[in-house]
Amino acid sequence: MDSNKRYKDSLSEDQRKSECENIRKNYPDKIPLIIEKHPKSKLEQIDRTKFLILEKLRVYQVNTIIRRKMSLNKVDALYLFVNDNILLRGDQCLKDVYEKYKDSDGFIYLSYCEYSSFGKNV
Amino acid sequence: MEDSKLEEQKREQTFMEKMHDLGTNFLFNVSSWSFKSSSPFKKEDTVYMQGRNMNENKETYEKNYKEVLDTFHNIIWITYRKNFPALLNMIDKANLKNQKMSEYISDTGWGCMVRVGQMAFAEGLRRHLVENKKLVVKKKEDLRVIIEGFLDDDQKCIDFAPYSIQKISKIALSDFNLLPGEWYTPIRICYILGLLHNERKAIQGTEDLKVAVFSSSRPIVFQDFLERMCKVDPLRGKHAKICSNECRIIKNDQKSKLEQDHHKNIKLEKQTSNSEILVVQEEAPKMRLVCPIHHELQYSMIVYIVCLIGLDTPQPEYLELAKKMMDFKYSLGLIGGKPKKALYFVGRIEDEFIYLDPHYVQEFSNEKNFQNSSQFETYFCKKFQTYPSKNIDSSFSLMYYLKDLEQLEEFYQFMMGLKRDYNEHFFMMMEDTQPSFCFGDGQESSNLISDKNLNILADNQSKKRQKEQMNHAHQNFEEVDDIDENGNYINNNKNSQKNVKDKNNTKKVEDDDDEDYEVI
Repeated sequence: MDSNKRYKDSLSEDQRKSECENIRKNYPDKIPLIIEKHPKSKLEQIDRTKFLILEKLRVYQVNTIIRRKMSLNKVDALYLFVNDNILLRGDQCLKDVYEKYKDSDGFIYLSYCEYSSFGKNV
Repeated sequence: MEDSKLEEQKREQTFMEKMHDLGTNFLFNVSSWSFKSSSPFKKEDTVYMQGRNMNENKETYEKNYKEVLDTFHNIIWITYRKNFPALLNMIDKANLKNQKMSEYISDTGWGCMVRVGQMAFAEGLRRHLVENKKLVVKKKEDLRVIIEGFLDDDQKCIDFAPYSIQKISKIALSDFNLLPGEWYTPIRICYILGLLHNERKAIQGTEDLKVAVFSSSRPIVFQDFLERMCKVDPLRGKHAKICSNECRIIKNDQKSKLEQDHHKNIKLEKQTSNSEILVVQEEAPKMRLVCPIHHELQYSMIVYIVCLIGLDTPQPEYLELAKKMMDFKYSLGLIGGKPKKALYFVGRIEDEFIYLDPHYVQEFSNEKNFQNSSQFETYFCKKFQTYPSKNIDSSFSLMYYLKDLEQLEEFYQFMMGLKRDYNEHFFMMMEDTQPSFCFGDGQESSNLISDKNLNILADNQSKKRQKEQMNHAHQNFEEVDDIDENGNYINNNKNSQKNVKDKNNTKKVEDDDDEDYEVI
């Protein structure tokens, strides 16, 4: 898959729907997530896009899983957004977040982003 | 003699650099024209500066107005500087991959976050010195001792100017691989200044002050505050811990005294009316954090809480809360900015943030020229400017100064109160102790990231972990079952790897679709 192309744009809605239904059948207690780098972020791309994660986990644990996939300095932070715009707080339960924000295709779309850096060239 | 030697090493600014500086200063002047010369605020406006309510206890509007401007003009202003000794010495440069990197003798165009960090930190030092009566500020000149810590030439001796841009650049390179000319995030500059202060050299009178940096992406745990501020508990011989629940209940009968048994009779000062007590009883009982028997002050603390509350600009519901946090009396403002331009937000007038702008190039300061009053005056800003809060960048750091454990208690009650009131709009995780979902997380879960030693440990660990992960990244299918009954994600790489291998051997992948997924 093209690294710049996002999952949602790479397949039609029907394809995504059927894929999600398939995977949910096999893993009823796990949540299908698409996790991608936010377009604004300068962090590295992680090696996976699709995740199946236990629904009882917290957002913070998802955050930790992603952190471990990249060489991120301990001081730097990672934040997760749903649908590219709503910030998630670490103690939210994945199941609740899914119920609230899942896409019509059945996946939930998360993106990760870091703090902005500041500088200004004239 | 020595001076002339140093002079020889310095290069001249290039033509392009000079033009760059002219452009920067032109923009600075233009931006301040747009400010209406009429009064900056109306009579009925709410004005806060560095945690102080400027409307309170003042008879007249004119007096308020004068006080706001006076306060503003007395805040230490640190800007871009030019012609300072080149950043990074020969040894640092020898280690660089890019040998061609030009020598930076100015921070125009990239150092704004460094400067904002410096000025906010200078205000933190000032508050500590003033609150502890180690410094009496009657006139600006009294602030010399603080500003000296931030001069742009630290070659006099190793302890001189402990927070100079030269020292900051070195840590930026060693800890973040960040070169001069590259941009800083708020958390990095807070961390660097904290490290310089905590572990290298603190200016005179601030040895009993420590810096703690927290990120809102991780749980902020008050236990860490106690550990950092208190002496090692003399009774238990360990780092200070939060006492048991009984010990922390705030009793309603205020008359009882502490003497007999502090566990049962802890005095509550703030509750004066019966109605308040009733309200308290309806909700979960409020708990104290600080225990007068087990906790004894060792260090005052500067607290940074670095937040992200939206993508480009803040989400409105979060911004409201951030303003409340910024108004708190022990606040020192925000280290933030508009997108790409760092600014020090010192207060607000209603929905407009009052700021100090570092985007103005001035001649560098060293020990010698700093003696001139004209050079000294370059550390104060005359241009009072405001910026709409809704347009600020969503990354910023809250900053507080907590003098003692009483102030820590107030801070705790204030934050926990906001947490109750704002509930789902409370954009950070604040807890007494580490939440159970962080256990087994190794060093990563600790939010106290101003400890150098901890940091090296964590870095090594994460490198190890990365290597291990690289090794099994080729497997298409990963099932990690290392989560215990309570939902704790247990970080035990060896075992989990074994699990993965075992499972892969025994379980046949039936559905091809699964191969793309990481299963956790």
